[in-house]
Amino acid sequence: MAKPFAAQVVTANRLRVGDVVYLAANDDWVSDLARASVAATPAELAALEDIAAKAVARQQVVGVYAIDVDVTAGAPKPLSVKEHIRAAGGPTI
Amino acid sequence: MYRYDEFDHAFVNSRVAQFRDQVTRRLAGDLTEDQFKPLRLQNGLYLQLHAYMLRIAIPYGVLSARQLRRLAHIARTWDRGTGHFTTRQNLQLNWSKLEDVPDMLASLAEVEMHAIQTSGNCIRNTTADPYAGVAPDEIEDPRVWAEVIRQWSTIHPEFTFLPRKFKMALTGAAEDRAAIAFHDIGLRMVKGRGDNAGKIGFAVFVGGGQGRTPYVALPLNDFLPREHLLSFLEATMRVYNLHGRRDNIYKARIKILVNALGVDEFRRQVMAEWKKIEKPSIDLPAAEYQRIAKYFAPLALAPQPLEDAAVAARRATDAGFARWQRNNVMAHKVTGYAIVNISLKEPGKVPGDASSEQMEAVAELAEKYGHDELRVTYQQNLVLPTVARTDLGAIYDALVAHRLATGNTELITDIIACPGLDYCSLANARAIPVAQAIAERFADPDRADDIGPLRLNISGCINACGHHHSGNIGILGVDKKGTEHYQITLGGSPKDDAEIGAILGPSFPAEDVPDAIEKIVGVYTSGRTSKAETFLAAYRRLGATPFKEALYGPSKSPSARIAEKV
Repeated sequence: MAKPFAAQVVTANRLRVGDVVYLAANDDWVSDLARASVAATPAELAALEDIAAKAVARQQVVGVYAIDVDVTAGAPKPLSVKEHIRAAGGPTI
Repeated sequence: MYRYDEFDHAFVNSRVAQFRDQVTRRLAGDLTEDQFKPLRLQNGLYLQLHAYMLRIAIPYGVLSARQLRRLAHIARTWDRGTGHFTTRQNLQLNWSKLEDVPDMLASLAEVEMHAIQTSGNCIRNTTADPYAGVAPDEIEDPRVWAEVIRQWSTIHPEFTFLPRKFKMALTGAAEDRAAIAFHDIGLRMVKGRGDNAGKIGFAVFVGGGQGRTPYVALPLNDFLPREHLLSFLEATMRVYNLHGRRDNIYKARIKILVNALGVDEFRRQVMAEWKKIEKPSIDLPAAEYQRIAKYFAPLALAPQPLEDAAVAARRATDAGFARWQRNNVMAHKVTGYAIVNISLKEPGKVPGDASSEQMEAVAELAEKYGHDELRVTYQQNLVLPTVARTDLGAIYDALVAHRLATGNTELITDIIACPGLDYCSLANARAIPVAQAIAERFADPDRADDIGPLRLNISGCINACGHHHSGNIGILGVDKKGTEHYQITLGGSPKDDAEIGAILGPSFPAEDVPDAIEKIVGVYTSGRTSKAETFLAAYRRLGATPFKEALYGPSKSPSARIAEKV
């Protein structure tokens, strides 16, 4: 049986300064994961990745990839420790 | 120390201009990331977990006060006011902005520094004994040869695209303080015997390293006349470059080749290649050696009394000063002078981190008391290599004022830790918070003193940047079903008795690691024959069993385990 699709958001770093960002509504890139657009289906993820590819082509962001999230109370939260630390905006120390 | 000549200045400045142009083209869209990435990596610029990270080369760990001040300035101006000293004696800035990096590199070039070859499959920054030139047990100052290797290996056209990165270390002393056994090539200056009596050369070791497949380096050449160093290195690199695996990144280091061929066959191939090389075209002319050696001429120091009355008096009345002197101040080759280790390991702080203010304070000490000389150690600390013993009190007071006076050199709180998952995109687990928790657990300086010499190293992943394999106690962060766990190894050593630590048993969650270390230390302190028996010596005598039993309970016989399952 195929694995059920996990909710995902698309993340990257701003090319010019390196900040961690997430793809949000209106093709915007935001630092707050809570505002990221969540893909609930493969088709929605493909659409987000298409938008991200255009942002890469515009030299807006670099290092695009999708991460698994858990959506609770309408806000996505990363599943992995790595993405949790990354979303926090800095080290845990 | 070495000063750039006209060629060096022109080369480094041209690289800055070249990278400035490359960044401009990248931001304008004329270069894709695929095209740009190898260019930025060749200039030490990584994209890490949170931001770009610039890794700045500190050749063989040698710095002037002016250079350290400039690093402080760069960290404050373009980063967040902190630098992280690494196990390759380099400095990393964790919050660099791509658009600022050309200016950062230009600022570095003004003080004869750069970030070239701090990444990529090339010969990386050669590391050396941090006490080079001042150690009493030294045969010859290895910095001269480290500088020769730097010049030879910088954009060497044949070795810029090796199968994998390549790291060398060298020492000129009797005691290995450069971990040469854990390098692709380790070099130790030795006195010749027999036909070579009266000569100085190198004992060459090859194929050491940590990472996912750790090896202790094997002897390649017992005595290499020093004047043939470059041609021999060239032959060794050629064999590696030809036969090193490029099909599998995990098997691409020279250690894999050496151990696959066997060191005897590898040596045979190197010797055959060396025979073919026209040595005078590669080896350093004697005049050029002399020119470089002048930059490392010993300071004109007049011997002074070994003991200073004021220092002795303070030691008798100030326990903190006495501890600091006992643990951090080492003998210098000139009587009346000392080597001072500056700990970047205050318990609770990030191992290896120094703020801009701290860097400036250390630079001031180097100018005022230290003949403008500084070193970085692979244990992520700093060194004033030459100070008068009469100045120890003033130096200590200044270090205290900047929280740099922890007297814990090579004690349990002098922990090597990689950036781990707090910064590194390759890591599986955090290293820094675990190091902090352990250091705080053993923060009582009397207790750390009682435990005695103990190397504790932590890596956040199998790449082993935190040297966990060579720690007397090694800790490796692993991802266990999405949670951070830590595997403990015992018995590693980075020194002359180099050894890879053995895994003790199943891993622990982060919160349990300090207790586990406590139990291990308890087995040692209760089982040692006397305080003179170090942790490593006791472990080698006792074996792993009592340590395993302390962590996991009594071991059971095979028949008992079968009976339990029935």
